[in-house]
Amino acid sequence: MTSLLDVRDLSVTFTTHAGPARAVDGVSFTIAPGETLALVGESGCGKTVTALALLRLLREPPATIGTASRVLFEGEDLLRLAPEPMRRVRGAGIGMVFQEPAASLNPVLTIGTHIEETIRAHESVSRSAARARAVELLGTVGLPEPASLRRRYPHELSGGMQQRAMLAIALAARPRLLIADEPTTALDVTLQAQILELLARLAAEFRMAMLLITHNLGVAAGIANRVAVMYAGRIVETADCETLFAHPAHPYTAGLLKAAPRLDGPARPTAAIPGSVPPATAWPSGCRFRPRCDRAWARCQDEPPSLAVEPNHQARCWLVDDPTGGPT
Amino acid sequence: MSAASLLAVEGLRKTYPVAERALRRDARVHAVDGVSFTVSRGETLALVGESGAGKSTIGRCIVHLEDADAGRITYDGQDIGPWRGADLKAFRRRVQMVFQDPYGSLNPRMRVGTAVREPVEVHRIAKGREAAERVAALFEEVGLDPDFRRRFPHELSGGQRQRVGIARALAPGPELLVLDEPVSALDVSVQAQVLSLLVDLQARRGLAYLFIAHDLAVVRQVAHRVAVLYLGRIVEEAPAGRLFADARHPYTRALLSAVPVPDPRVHHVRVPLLGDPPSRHGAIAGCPLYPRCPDPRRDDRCRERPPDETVALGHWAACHFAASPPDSLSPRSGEGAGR
Repeated sequence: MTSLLDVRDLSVTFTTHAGPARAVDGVSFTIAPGETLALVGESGCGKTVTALALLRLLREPPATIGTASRVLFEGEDLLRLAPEPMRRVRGAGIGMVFQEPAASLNPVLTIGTHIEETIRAHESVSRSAARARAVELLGTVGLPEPASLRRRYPHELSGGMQQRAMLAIALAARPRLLIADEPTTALDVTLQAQILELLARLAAEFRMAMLLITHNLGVAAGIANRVAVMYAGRIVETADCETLFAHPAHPYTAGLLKAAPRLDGPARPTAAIPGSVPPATAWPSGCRFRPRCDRAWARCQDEPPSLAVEPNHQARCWLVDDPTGGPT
Repeated sequence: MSAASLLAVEGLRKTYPVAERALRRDARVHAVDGVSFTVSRGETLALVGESGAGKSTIGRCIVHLEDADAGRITYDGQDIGPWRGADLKAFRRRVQMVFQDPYGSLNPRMRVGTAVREPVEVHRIAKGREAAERVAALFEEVGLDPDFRRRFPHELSGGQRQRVGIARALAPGPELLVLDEPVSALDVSVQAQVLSLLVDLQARRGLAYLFIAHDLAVVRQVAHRVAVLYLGRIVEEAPAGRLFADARHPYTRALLSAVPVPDPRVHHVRVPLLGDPPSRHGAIAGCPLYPRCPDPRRDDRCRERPPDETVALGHWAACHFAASPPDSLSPRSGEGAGR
């Protein structure tokens, strides 16, 4: 296999007061070296839990990862890795960037210390060499005056600068895969555009693969090679970026695209999907989108498997099997 | 226009003291720096801007949650500044606010039916059985099953909670709603539902909206007119159709070009702003965008406050070059061949 990351049948169940919540339910996807996959979905669909599970950052319990789940990174199953090698994967193999940079940075350490510690945790280099690399990295992510910025504390930076600094830390150990979970959601739109351009440039420059988690279809469209759409704990559609946006096969994907406000779309709100996402303790039986779907029919009482629309385009919808199906 | 306007804001200013002992001479944040606009009956004016632009402060000044430092707010021809007590209470029947996070604005221990009933009783619109019926009707009007009245906020989804927030705001029978980021905490599918509801309510009740938001794509779906705020000042105002087709201020153009397009075939050119937004300490003498302006014609004149240049009827921009924006600032110039 040529995949850098191969996630197979990933399931995560949380023990909650309202009963077991299967937040992620049989999720499979692959990422090739250098490829950017966007995992798109609304809140509560399981996209962040997927990322945390494959980095082994979930506390168990309350989380339980399915016994059949596999997360193969460069051929090695991360779910069965001992703590010490797993620590080496985090950072050097897989870098991470999260939504709130301020929450991920240690307020009493300088920006430089964050980066230099990361470098020295993964490579045996001298302090001065780590320092030089830190300055270089801060320049790479587009921060002004990197030499003096190294000595600054997180609170002295604006939100956009903090997220750039987070990227410098994530890149410090030269990961092959970057997981970015809503990296621009907390930022203003002009900063968002800058950070997305930076992410795309860095992915190309460092020949780094990326798993971009976002609720924003526009963000996915601008940066991803492939897109996977999640709904109620499952991936409901996967395709290359152009195909997904031009020919969505799943009614949920189509509805999301219709509902997303855009500057070149209709100048009236389009409420394309009624209702809201069900809680993870009560996924509907059969197709999970059935209660909100205007094309649901008798067959949807059985949950559809992932069906091939075309090579490299799958959707969990019976309409793929029978395009004439639907309510009668 | 202003004679017929329901709400008129003139030269509004609001500064906040900076908590830390700064070494700056002027240790105040100028949140709103001389803002004027009007809202007519039945229309939606959107106030758009990024964080720190002052848009929420303006909303809070209008509903008297904050006192302005200077400027005048008139409602239906009367200055609301001196209003206290009974005047203010009467005003609040006519102007209501809807907040971004309905979870933060609803009492977690109060049934949502009671939360909607409260304003009905406070304003002595109805009591007893009649009040209960009124609450049920409000629930239906915002698309909620009246049985939901007995639920607590945590038993509702985000979209349902925002519908409760809207029902509560409608309870006293207002003419104007100040909507502060009413859909930005909601998922895309639910966001569209709530926006549709707001559009329907406006048509049915003839409501005026001051719609405060950061998302231009959302604003485009609801606004009749748009005012773009940057660092406490309105830099451009136009009828919605004009603003989205022919924006003249470089900041508006940059903002429009930064909105991500959910279509990978569209490659539009981003109008870059230079650097990060500056610190908000102290007053800004010249054009607030001057240090970051991408317009190649920017010159020494921009160090002085630019006049509000009229572009067309109801469309003006606070920029010396508003009459003709250069092609290099056109967010649409690079659109791909796929379209």
